[in-house]
Amino acid sequence: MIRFNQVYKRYPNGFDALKNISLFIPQGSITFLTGHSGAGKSTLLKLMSLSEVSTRGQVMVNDVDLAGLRGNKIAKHRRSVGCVFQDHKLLHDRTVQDNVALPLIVAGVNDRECRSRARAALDKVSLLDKANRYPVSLSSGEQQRVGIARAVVGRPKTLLADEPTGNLDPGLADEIMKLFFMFNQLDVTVLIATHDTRHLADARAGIVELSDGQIVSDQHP
Amino acid sequence: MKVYFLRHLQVLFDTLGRMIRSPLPTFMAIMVLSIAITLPLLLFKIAESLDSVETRWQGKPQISLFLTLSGPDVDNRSREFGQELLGFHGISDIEYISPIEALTEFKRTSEFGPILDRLPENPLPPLLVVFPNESLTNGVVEQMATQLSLRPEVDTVSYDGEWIQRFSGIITVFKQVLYVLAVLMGLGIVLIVSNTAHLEILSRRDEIEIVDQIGGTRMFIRRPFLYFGALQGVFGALLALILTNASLLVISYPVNTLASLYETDFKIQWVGFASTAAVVFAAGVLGWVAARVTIGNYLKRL
Ligand SMILES: Nc1ncnc2c1ncn2[C@@H]1O[C@H](COP(=O)(O)OP(=O)(O)O)[C@@H](O)[C@H]1O
Ligand SMILES: [Mg+2]
Repeated sequence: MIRFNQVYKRYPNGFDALKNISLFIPQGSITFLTGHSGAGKSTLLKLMSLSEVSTRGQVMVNDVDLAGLRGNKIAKHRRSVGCVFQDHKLLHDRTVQDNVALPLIVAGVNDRECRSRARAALDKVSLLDKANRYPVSLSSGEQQRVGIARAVVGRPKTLLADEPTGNLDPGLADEIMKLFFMFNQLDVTVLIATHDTRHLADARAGIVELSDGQIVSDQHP
Repeated sequence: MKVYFLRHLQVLFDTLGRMIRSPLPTFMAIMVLSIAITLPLLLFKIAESLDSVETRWQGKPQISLFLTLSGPDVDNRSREFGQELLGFHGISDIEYISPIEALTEFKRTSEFGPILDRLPENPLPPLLVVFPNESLTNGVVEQMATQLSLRPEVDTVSYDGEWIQRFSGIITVFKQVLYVLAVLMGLGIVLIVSNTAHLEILSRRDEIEIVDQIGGTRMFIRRPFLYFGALQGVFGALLALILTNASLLVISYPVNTLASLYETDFKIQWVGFASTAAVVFAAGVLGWVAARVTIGNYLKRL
């Protein structure tokens, strides 16, 4: 469940990236966040992962009001939200499996469980055979699948993806999207920022369109 | 709880592994640290050794009285004078060294034996060694020496308190310099470690950002850097102890030779186990603190 209540975001340079955003995304749904480049998609996702804080208004994710979170509570909130980034953000000095296990290590899960859950997540994105490789030896599409495996390994209730197919050619992009729909089947709330309009036709997904920091349309399936 | 300890161990070994994988910068940093630690440590050991000499001498101050007396009954008259002095306030013991005894001793310890044999008569005066009460201060003993020099029986007085005083004055200054150096050393460790920790942070900033993004607590993010700082301090201190002991070894031979010339049992002392543990611990803590401040500042800006 994601809820925005009259949210504003002004960056330190005075730029208003989001203006009066009110939004409700029910638990277990899958939603595309679309809009032109610079519309404010990334900013909206960053407010949910607390990489940025709203200037005004209320942001709720998984029934938690993010405004009051400090210190370890922020870390705990981030562990309950899986994030996928356009540039994967993998650690290049660790194996694929160690990358995927990272959120579990951070959460204090023991070694054996880390291993088995990381391998299960890699299996879901069909990369189990590359568990011991290093990210550089993987293709961009494979690296993104590693990123997705890492985002879901902690079994988050919410999955956020910022242009996850941005660097991929159409065939690979479709595969990645399939994975998001698959995790959505497991009652994960999925929110994907993309300006790739090809995927918006899917009838199962809601579509929220931003323009210049404001919502211009909000469709639910 | 078990997982927690295991994670700490893993971070420790991971950090060690990182340090070993970039041996040159690691070694350079540790070397610089160890030099910063060695200098005051070496001075400290020297001060400690001098200190033991000072306390040993101060334990038994003595005044040597070379007498004007001579003639065949010189021994008797000298002893009588000694007895008289023994009755004085503040004198605990008197030792008489006759000219013959002095000559024998002189022949034994010097190479002038054959020349001395050829002298027509013994040129050495009778000597009374006065031991003042040990509770007396240097000043009082000095006054006593001056008064004794006024006696007609006394030719010259030699009192070693004056230069002991000078010696202990020098040691006091030396120690004060040492405190300043120790503080500077601590500051040096903090600066060196925070510099290397800063470089380490920069080289791992992607990792820090990612771990922060996926919900690592600040404590979790800080941990490897704290180990990094503490390990640098510890290794720097260990290397410094090796350097210090090696330096002591190098200077111990001439110093011990010199000391034996002066017939003191002055000995260079190695850095003992307790000091070793203390230095390693202190350097580790300082390294930890330096890294803690550095990573703390970095995370504040995240
Ligand atoms: N840290 C920042 N400081 C100032 N302006 C920013 C910052 N981040 C983004 N912006 C601006 O906010 C607007 C929205 O950015 P973003 O959310 O990244 O848009 P999108 O992801 O839809 O392309 C853009 O005009 C961008 O220049
Ligand atoms: Mg963007």
